[in-house]
Amino acid sequence: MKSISYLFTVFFTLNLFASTEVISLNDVASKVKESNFTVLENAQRVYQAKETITFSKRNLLPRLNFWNILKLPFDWASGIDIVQDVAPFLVPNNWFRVSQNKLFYLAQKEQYRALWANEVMTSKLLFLNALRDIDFYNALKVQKGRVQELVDIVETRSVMGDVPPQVVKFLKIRQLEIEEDLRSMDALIFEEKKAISMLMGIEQEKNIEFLPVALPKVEDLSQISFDTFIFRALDNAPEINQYNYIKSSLRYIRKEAYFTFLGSSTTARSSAGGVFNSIPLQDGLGFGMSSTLRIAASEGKILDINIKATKEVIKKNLYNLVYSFNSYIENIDNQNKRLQLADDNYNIIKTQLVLGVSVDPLEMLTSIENLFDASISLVNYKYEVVNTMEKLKRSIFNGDYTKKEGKLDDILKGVNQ
Amino acid sequence: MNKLLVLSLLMFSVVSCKYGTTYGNLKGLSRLKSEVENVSSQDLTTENQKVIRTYFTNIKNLVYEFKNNSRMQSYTHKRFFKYFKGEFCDKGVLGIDAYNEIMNKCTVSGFYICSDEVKFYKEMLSESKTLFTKLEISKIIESESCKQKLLNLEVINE
Repeated sequence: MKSISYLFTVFFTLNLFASTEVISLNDVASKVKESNFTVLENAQRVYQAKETITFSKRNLLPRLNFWNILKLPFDWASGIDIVQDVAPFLVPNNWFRVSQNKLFYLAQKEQYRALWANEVMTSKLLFLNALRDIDFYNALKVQKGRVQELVDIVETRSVMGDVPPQVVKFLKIRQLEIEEDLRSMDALIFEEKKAISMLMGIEQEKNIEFLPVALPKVEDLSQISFDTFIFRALDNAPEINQYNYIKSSLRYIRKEAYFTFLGSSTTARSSAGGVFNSIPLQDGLGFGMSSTLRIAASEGKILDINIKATKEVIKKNLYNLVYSFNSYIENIDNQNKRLQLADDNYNIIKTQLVLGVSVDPLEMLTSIENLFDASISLVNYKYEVVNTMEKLKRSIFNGDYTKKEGKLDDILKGVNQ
Repeated sequence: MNKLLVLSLLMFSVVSCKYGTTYGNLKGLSRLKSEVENVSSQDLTTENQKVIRTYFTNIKNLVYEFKNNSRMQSYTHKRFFKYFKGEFCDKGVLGIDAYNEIMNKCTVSGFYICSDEVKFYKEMLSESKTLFTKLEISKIIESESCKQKLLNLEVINE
């Protein structure tokens, strides 16, 4: 009986551990890559784009269409009607679609890279926010203990008539407010854990716990400059690369327009090529060709506008990041000093209270709250620095965000780096 | 039937023109390489970064074109011994000293700030090596300076 209960305990403990997953910040990137639902879906789109290249290449080879063969007339001249079936490689537009689909595949890969990096960053920032909220929760618990201590002292003094009863009531109201803050903080952390589970593709039934991160010593960090990072931020931006690939494919649309007299392509564009669905192409050479060319040129201008706008957004974000990072470094001394002063003040008042000096309880409450605010502010400050560094890494694709551009990735596939 | 023949010839001529652009880029490497060598000892300004990026991106595009175009590969293999000149290696491939000088400047405060193409230069060259036959490789490294350059870049082994 004893062994059965032992086995049951072991089973129960194992089951408990099995349903709890401990996650570190380093796990986040790999988990997002492996299991994030949006990333997985987008990876399938990249796969489809790659398969579309193979499809468009094979679509150049002869194919069998039984009904068309039945229609085969007896003279060879009429046989031209089935050239798309017998010799699709003779239709130049089919070749142009192959080239287009190669570029659309690269564009899709860039889209995937941007989405992947955004999902990794969102998850990492959420993870850091949750850690910060856990720190706040713990600080609030300490605050609760301090206020409880004060309530005990003030209640004793109230019995002796040193303190009016409304002060005790006021402090108890504050105590209840802290209880409420703790409850809402707990609910917020619970929500954040569930959101991270979702982003990392972890089943909602599982509990997750976070390993704390080492916060940086902000005093040791040095200022950074916009000029140092802007080149890489623009050079490596998948959002810009994607537009460049789509723009490169535009020349094949023009070629398609010129060669429509040799037939239209039967190959579809892959999903990234959807932007060109609005460009009309005549089946055969006609007077609409010049309009097609003008619309294609206009589409090129739209892409140029998008590239310019994306560049400006990247620059704006980078300027803000660098400015925030430098301002955090500049002001860290203020934060440290604030905490030191608040701590000194709290200790002085507490010592006076212990020594029996008549201290105004509300002044004591103010000093407790000052200390809480200062400590929370400093913790928040350090997390903000970590957040800014994460965003900076995302903007220049460093660290966990390292993912090679489409062509480079293709070249180096299978190479040990 | 004649029409079909004309059409096929037309298509082949289109394909050859496309290779012409790629081979033109290959020839253009020597000018880009000298520009990179000039800026390698200077500060890494945005302008210099662009110069460096252009050279390494050209290398990437060439390797990509070559790797993904089997027709271009067979076209090159057929004409390799007729047209390959040993001086290309000296003129077009950046040596290890200038490369290391650039790479040393590419990391600032723990952040890598240059193009990825710079970081993976050696790997790109190694990958391009796999696209040539053994005979072609031995022709490439006939020149001692070229052999030494590729050895230093770890593209080939002793």
